[in-house]
Amino acid sequence: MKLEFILQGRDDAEAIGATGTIKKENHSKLKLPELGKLEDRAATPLPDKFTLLSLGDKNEQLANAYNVTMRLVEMEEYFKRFDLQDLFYIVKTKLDPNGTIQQDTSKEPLYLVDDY
Amino acid sequence: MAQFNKIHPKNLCTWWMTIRKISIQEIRESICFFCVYGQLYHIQNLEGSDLFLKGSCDDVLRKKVMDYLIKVPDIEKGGPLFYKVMMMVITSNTEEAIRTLTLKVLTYKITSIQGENVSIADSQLRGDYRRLMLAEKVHDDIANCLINIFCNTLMDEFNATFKAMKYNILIENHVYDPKDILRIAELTYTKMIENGSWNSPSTTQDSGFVVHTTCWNCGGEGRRVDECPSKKVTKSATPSKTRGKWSAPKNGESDLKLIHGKPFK
Repeated sequence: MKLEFILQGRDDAEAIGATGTIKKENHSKLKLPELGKLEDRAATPLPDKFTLLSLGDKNEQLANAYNVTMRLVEMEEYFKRFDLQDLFYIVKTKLDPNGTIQQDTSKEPLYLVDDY
Repeated sequence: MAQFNKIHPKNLCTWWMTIRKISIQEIRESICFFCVYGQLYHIQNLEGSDLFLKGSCDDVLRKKVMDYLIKVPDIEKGGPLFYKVMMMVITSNTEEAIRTLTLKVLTYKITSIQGENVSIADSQLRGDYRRLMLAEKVHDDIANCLINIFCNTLMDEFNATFKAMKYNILIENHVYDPKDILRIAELTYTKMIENGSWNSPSTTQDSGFVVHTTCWNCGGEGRRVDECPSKKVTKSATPSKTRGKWSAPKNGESDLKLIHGKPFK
């Protein structure tokens, strides 16, 4: 069996992306059924769910808070993997005299899912 | 270490602080902007992230978030808004539980505990204090509140220790650690028990937290059926009208019984 490889090596970022991140720019290049598969994968929920925090005894409280924290970490990984982070940068807007929505460039967008 | 910090439960507070900086209105406007001026993949991703987060919540949480978002126009909906509301619901649930717990501590009455057992009161208050500490929501006045609880027992000798502490706070601005107050209470109580000087009259409730109960016997408020002063009417107290088939023979009665006309011994 003959194995085929590309002649020019990928840079590090691209090489990592090849196994994980699906660049948002490439979404539109996909056609059915690949696009459908990607959308299905991107909307696949976390196996462990977010739950309401309860105020139980000490151990329960710790476990509960730990569970929510871990789901947040997983969620952030997911956003990176499917290249969804830019939506979570909250763009400041203002209305122009015509009542049309515009970006307020005087303020930096704030990242909603802060990475500490 | 960085990884440990990242998953340590205390950092949830840091996370929430960041989320709180951005209002729901700002997020709605941002989503609207992405819908109007964003790339096509932004619109797809708004829907995708929304679906992902909806699926990643348990049923109760998802329902609460969706109830909140029911009146939001579609052009302002998406993953970021769902995320913000979801975290808000999770946080408010905790705050509600903390409020209840704080109120319980503030209204705690040591006189309701059987024999004014300070050990029981100490365990209950210590447990609640730890929970509040863990959530970083300890009431500012917790030390005063604990001193007031221990000042109001029926044992003057015990109260004197805490009245002195109260005096120190008022006059000398002394600051007491709540854990020290609990420890002093436990020690003073143990000492008095050992000396035989603790002879508080008993009451019947095992917890100092004030509970509203209704008597099942007379319907009176604030007591249980076993504390009811009214005479109880029970089946055993009511004489039976007829004796059963299998009752023992009366004095002078033959032990030969007739059941359905047939002799039965």
